[in-house]
Amino acid sequence: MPAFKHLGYPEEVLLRLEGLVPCRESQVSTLLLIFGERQHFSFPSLFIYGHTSSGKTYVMQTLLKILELPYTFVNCNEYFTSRLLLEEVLRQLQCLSSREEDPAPASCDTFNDFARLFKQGMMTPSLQDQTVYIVLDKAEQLREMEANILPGFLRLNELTDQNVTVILLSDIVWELLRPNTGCLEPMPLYFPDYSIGHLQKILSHDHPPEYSYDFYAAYINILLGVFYPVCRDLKELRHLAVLNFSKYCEPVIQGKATERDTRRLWKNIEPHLKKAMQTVYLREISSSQWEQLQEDGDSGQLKGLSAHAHVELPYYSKFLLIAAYLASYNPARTDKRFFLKHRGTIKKKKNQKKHEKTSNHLLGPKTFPLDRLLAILHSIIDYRVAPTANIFSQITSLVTLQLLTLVGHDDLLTGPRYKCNVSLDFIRSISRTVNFDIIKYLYDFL
Amino acid sequence: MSTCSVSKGCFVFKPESKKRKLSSPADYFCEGNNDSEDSELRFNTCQLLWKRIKSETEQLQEDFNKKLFDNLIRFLRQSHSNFWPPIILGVNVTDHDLTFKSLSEALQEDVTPFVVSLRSKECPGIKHLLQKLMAQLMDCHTDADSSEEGECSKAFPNRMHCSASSLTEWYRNITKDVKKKDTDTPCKNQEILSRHWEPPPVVVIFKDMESFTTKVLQDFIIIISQCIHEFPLVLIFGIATSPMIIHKLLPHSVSSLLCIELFQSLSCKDHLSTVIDKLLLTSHFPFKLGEKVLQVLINIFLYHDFSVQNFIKGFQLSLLEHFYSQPLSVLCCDLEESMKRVKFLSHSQCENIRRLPSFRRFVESQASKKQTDLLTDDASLKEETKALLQNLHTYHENYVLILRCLHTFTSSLPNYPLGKQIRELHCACLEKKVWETEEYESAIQLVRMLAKEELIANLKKCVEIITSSSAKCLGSCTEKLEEYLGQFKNLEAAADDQEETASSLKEIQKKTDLYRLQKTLLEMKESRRLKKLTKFEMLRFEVVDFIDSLVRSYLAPPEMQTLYEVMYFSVASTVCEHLNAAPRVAIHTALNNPYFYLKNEALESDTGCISNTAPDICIAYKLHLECGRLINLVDWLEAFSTVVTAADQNSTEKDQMEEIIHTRFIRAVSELEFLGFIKPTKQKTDHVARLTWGSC
Repeated sequence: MPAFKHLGYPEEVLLRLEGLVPCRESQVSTLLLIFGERQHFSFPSLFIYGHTSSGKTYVMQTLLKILELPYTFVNCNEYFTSRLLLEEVLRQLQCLSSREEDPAPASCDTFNDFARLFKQGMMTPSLQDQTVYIVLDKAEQLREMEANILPGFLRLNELTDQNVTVILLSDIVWELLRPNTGCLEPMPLYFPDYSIGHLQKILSHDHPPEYSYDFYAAYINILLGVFYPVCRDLKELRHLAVLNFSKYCEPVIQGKATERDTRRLWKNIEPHLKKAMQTVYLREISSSQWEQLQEDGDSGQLKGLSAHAHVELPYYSKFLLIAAYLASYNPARTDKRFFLKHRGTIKKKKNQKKHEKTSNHLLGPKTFPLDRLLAILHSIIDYRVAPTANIFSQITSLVTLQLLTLVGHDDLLTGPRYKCNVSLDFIRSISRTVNFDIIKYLYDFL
Repeated sequence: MSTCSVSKGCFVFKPESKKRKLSSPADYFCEGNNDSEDSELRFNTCQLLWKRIKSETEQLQEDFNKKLFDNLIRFLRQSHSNFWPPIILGVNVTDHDLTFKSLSEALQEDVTPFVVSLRSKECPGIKHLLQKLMAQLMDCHTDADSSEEGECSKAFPNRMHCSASSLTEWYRNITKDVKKKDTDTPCKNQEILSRHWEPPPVVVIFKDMESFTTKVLQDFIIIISQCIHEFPLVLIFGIATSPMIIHKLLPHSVSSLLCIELFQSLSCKDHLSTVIDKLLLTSHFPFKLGEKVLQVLINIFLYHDFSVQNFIKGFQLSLLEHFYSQPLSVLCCDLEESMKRVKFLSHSQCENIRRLPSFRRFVESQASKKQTDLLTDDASLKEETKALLQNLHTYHENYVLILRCLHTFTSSLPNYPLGKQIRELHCACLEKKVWETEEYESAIQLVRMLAKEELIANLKKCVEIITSSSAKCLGSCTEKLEEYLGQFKNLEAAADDQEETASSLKEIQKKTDLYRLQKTLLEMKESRRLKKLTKFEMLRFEVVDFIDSLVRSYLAPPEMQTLYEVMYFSVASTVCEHLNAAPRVAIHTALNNPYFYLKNEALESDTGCISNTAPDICIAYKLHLECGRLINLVDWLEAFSTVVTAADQNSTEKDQMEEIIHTRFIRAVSELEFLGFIKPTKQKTDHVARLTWGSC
């Protein structure tokens, strides 16, 4: 019993389509209904949305390809300006109409030109009596372009007076995309996330030919058990499945277990997958390193990216960073207490005020002027530091390293303001290397 | 000037090409020199020496990079997919540029002609980035190929499509071309193909990953990931901080597109150690740095910039300064050459030698007959100088060797009393007699407690160091060391001491009552205190004393050597002034004490009072130093005019004077504003705000 029924297309094509789009049958049949037959006028614009890797692009591409409909497929991320986007659509349209390569792509600056050229392009007999589909992937990018592009596309049918349907694919809902000035509402279609059952089904599809379907399905089951709580991205899961499968097969190849011995296989693979979650999934180590690790056995100690957290900085840069941290997280009024030689009576108030203040670390870094940074620097370094050009250039290089950020105006004459960008752990490890007890100087930890 | 024209008018004359006298740096070198003794010879020596040093450092740099690059290229060979090796480097930018330059050269040499390097400054947006990428790709292709390709790329429209598809198309064309031509002219392309891989990957180098905006990077990776099926692609990211920045900059959806591999370059501190090792701790180069200068250079490195390039620049500066300022630096060359040069020294140069403090000290220690000889007769002076130079040379050779030997001992001690790095030890030895310092004392104490294995290993290393060099004078020293080593071996054979203690331990293990046990333990303690040193300990003392004697005889500071001024540059203040620029201090000095720069006699005065002959801006500056945060302009003007008119009271045209003073004042104030000392404020009318505090 075929899932799709449609008069316009032959049965075997529909059957083939069904095999290619598992778990998306209802969406595909809706689409088929909307598309109608080749020569039917379809809905002017469709808006398909759903979470990342819910099969939007794939379903759309397969559907159009299998049914051999005339379409242009453009990724808005790739063609990031309106000019590029429009010219690409026109170029693909030209390819559709005339089989041979057209050497002169038309230049198209405005949407008006586009409508005109599009109409011209549609005038070829091969496209006359069928609907042309324009698919715009990553449609949220359209917001970045000129304001008339999105409404224009939604109304393309009307503007060109041609049989054309625009399909927008996006991760976000239509409400976030809708222009303020109003436009023709597209027909929304939601692609829900794959459920765990769906994932199981899809992933089991690409089992290697030398192993049985059931064996691979059992493996996928284990894999999903570990990774499903953190990752529902189909692509990522597939990647992980391929990476770890050889480890899973190991006992079978060595003859220690049969394909049916699920329990033993599970024992073998489970710690391995847990480890993979900490490293491969976060891209701490590359997949080739992971493969290497599997070959060598677990003895090989591979350091992930986070193991290299240590940052080397010149001596004064470290102090500058510490001073910047203090300036960012201490209120300016407390500077007197920390950095004045004779701090006198303020100490008494400390205890009674302590409970009312909110942690500056919860509020995040505050900006501070350059003068304050230098003043703190001079007071935390015991000996005199000459204000040489080297010191100032270090501040700039800290900014380029993104350890500090320059805030607000770029006019350096009127006192630039900075913000410290590093975490407490980072600054503590830095200050440990220069024997500076930063906790003693932080207002939050008094 | 005249023309042959009969009519009146304006004529344009091209200025006659001025014959510049000071054309070459050599002339500059001689020009400003007061005692121009042999300045040309000095200049040439300096140039030669610098050339040698430069090639040495370049070689070093190359060796350093080679390992990293080899790893990288090997990895490239293994996997031909979209991967992304970040390279971590220190913080300095000048060094990075060199590294990336040589990296792209290395890649172009034997991996692929398509290497693109991008800097964040050039790519504020994704559009610029792609444009830059395409432009560089087109260019490097024309470089690699014939001129015919050049026309083709010129024919490419100016406003080209910068997108993934055009990139793919370009790549397809290029590879097709290469293949097509392969059949036409096989010999030429054979060479290209054998050099590069098939298919050649496109390598994109991002020099400073931290400064790229997140959006640009993300977009680029997403766009470029679509080409990955068409051609191999490699992204190389230079990271100055830590690789954690990857997670900071890129969301998981983007970083999951990448296959990340990490390559870490050697730390710049190690690099510096090697450079110092190769430049200073060797007798190849006659030129030496004095303690203070070396300290300044190392401090700049460690405290400020971590840049080996700057260190080498500083070294070059001291070299130049030395040859420029020290007339006797003619003798600062290889031993044989300097022997020859001594012969041709002029009388005034001989006088220069006599004036050297170290030489005077030497003369005083001689017998009176010899003293007069040395002071009056040039010939005997020259003979003596030869001998002294020879001595200095031997001193250097021995110094380096013994320094390394001492370092093998001290580098493994707990807490490193004499420093972990050899450069610290070197500085300590240069500064004063190292054996008189407390640190040395404690270090030797610790060496006296070394275990046998360690001691032997260190001794072996010392023997290796001394024998590896070509110096002959330390031959007896090696023999002695080897003798000690032999003795240690003999000790091992006759190890009867241990048995003794073992037997006493056995006694304890027998069943005894508490009282007895206490007694035996006490006895043992007593005996241990009184016990004579074991043979090993005796030997150890002997060895340490021997090392100590070596240090005392060979590691004397250079100041004690006669004629050390010829080889050593120790004017730290010049280097400091040139390398550690202090703009604020300079501006303050200029404004506070204009005589310092202008050298005008009229300006010479006490720094305390304000002279009316000083430039207006100086007067205004000095007056503003006395004000608070907000300065009243009217008061300021009042004070200004008082100072300016202080000298000439009898001015008749007062109105006009006042106007002029007013104008001068306004100009001075706006100049101060331009320099960033004050700024206009809205807090109070007719006031300006001060931006600086203190005296500088």
